[in-house]
Amino acid sequence: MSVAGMAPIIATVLRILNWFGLSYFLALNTIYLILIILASINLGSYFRRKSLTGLEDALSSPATLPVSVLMPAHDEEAGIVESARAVMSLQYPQLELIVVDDGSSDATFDRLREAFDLIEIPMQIPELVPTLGQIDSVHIARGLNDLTVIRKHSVGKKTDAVNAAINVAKYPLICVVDADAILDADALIKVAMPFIDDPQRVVATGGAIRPSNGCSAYRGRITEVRMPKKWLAKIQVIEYLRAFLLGRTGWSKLGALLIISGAFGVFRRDVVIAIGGYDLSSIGEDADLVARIHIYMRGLKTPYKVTFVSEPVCWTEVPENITVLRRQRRRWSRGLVDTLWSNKSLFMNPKYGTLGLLAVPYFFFFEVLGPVVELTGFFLLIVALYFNFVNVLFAGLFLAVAILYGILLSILSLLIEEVSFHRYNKWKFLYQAVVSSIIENFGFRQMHAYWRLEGVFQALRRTDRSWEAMPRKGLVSDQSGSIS
Amino acid sequence: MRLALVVSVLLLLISIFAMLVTTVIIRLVRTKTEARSAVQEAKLRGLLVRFLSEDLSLFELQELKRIDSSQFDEISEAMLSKVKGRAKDILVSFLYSRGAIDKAIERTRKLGCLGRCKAAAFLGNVGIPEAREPLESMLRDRRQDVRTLAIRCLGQLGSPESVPALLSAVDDHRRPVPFGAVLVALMRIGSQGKGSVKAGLEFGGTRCRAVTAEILGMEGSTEDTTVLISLLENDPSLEVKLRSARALGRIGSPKAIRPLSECLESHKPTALRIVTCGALAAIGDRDTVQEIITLLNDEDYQVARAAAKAASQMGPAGIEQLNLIAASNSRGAAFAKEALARLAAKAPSAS
Repeated sequence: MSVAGMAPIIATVLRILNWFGLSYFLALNTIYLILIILASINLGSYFRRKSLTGLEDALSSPATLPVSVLMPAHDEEAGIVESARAVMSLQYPQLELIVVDDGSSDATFDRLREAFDLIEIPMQIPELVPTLGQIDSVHIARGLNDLTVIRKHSVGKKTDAVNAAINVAKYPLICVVDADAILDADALIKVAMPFIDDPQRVVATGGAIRPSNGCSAYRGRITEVRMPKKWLAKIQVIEYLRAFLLGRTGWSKLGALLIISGAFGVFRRDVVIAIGGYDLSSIGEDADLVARIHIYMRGLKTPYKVTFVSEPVCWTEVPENITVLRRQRRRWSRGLVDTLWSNKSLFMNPKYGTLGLLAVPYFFFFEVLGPVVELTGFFLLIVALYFNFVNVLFAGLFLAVAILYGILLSILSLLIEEVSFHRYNKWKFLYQAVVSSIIENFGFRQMHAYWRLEGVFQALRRTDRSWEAMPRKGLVSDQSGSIS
Repeated sequence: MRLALVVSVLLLLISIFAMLVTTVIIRLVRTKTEARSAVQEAKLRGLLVRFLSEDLSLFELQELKRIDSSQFDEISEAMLSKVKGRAKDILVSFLYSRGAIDKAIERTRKLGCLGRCKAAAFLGNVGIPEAREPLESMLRDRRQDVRTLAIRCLGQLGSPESVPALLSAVDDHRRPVPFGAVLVALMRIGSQGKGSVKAGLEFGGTRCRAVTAEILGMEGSTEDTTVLISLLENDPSLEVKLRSARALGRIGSPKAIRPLSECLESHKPTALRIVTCGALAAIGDRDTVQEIITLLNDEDYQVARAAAKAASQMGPAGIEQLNLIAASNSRGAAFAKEALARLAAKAPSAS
């Protein structure tokens, strides 16, 4: 058959593929729309009952389970002292902080030693969960019972540092917090409330993560919420709101939460120990841990809950330049593939309910394969346009539907934020958020798809990566206190 | 198909525009109402404060309250939790006169869950005896959040007559309630309810007995030692044993030493042995130091660590023994060194 003779076949194939691409976009965004609607129902109910939640009782109750806060740190000299102080002053009846200095090459440990008058203690550490890096020393703060600092050799894995802290932790709940994270004063008690309300069933809870760039901070607390100065970070504010806050609230409502952010999550220590702690070979450690908790708990055949609490906020610095953001997103994508592969028994498995039948297939078909379909779709559309297999108006409409649906979801998320949390309370911020919701679709979204695709390929090639430290500006504790 | 796409684009554009307009309207309304209600609230609160300090008569107040009746009620309700004594009595009488209390009692039976919750919270704040019955009936509500709130409000009410209802609620498996909420409620009721709490041991299930043990320990009365010893020795539930051991430690009666020491035996559950170490340390009897020190060589590292910590809390006798162990080559030396180092770290720096 001649090339001319093949043209109608190619045109038909391209048209089918383009339609497939559009349907895929619509399906993806519709799932998001459903999740956002579910989240809004959940948030509505939460806010109506907010004043009745009994936080004060939980703070004074001897039955409130004590928490060990685990803070792995690697080259965090800029903000480690502020972060540690902020954690120790959280509103919570009983907590201990365990900082793991995981082979920092900077002055992370020296800063801690100076600030807290650390003294070394001899300590027998049981190997409840596996660790690789040798522990050099354990230190406690003079005059304080609640701070332990572990110095260890780094094997380049955050999971190893967290596991070392789990072995030292003494309380029944553990909360893993990033060293650069800033928690709201009541964040810990709020994220632990499900354990207080339903101690028999709740095994893990996660709190919301929001970008701290641009915000004012004083003594490790956010004092004024502002939009970041750079557009790349502004776009991430919308992204975090849509995907991490509302998306996860929606999954939690469905009882199918797969990811609790490594930056802020609380777990029952006995369950984490029973599953062997964090998997040291895992790249997406946070999702992997939650997936294994689901598998373990289903195996026990006892009712359990993994929930997301949208109000307690953990503020974290997001990348403000393309290189760092690319690295972060590649890692997330690689981690997701790794998690889905390691826990493939969850996939389409009715034994795991909505998690196995909905969440895991969603993550596979839309989060892992999403960038493949998205980029292939764009490429084929360009090819089809070039060879005149589709007309320009049709292609334009086609693209417009896909992009407008994305914008709709972002604006809907903003609307929900406005009604519920209302954190960005200046008109200027609202305007910037709206503009970010629109411009996100032109360039950022495509770049993001490409980075995720890179991550998928890296996962397939089993590329190993160690701590990928993000350059931090750290918290500034002066009068202005602005982070960026 | 093209038409479908065009329609979709138009619909999406309209939806986006509508959402943007809604967002802006919500913000505008919020900005306006927040500012207005703040001014109004300050004014009404001022009036209410004058009324409570008897600077304004009820007649004058009722004339003025016409400003905004619903907001006035809200402020009055919010103020309930902030005032005490005579001011509270005046406020409660005022709310009575407005029919707010009767309305709240009625609302506890309404269909809307939020309405029931708010009514319960209001009744808890009012703290009048008439609120007890409706609140107790809410312990059987179909929703857990309502039941939990009712427990809290019964605690605020502080009536010892609520104790049996609270103890039944903690044992109700069909309608579970948080253990901690019941505990706090009973703590608030305090020593007045202790008789009823102890009576709960007769009919109560595991959770009821556990909460009883905890409360008896908090009240700290030596007369309860026998009851707690009996729970420690005979109760089939580990949870109850643990709480009894802790309670005995808090009370500190020497009568508890022997039964507690028996719990240190190697065949006893690890958790019980750990808690018992702490309890014996809290009693602080010199004669038990040696028993605890022996545990430093226990096979279970958790027990050994708990024993070392307990010994470090038992004064010079415990520290002396720890020093001896630390200087030895025994298995417990590491735990002894750790406990001593932790003890040293508690002391303020010489510099």
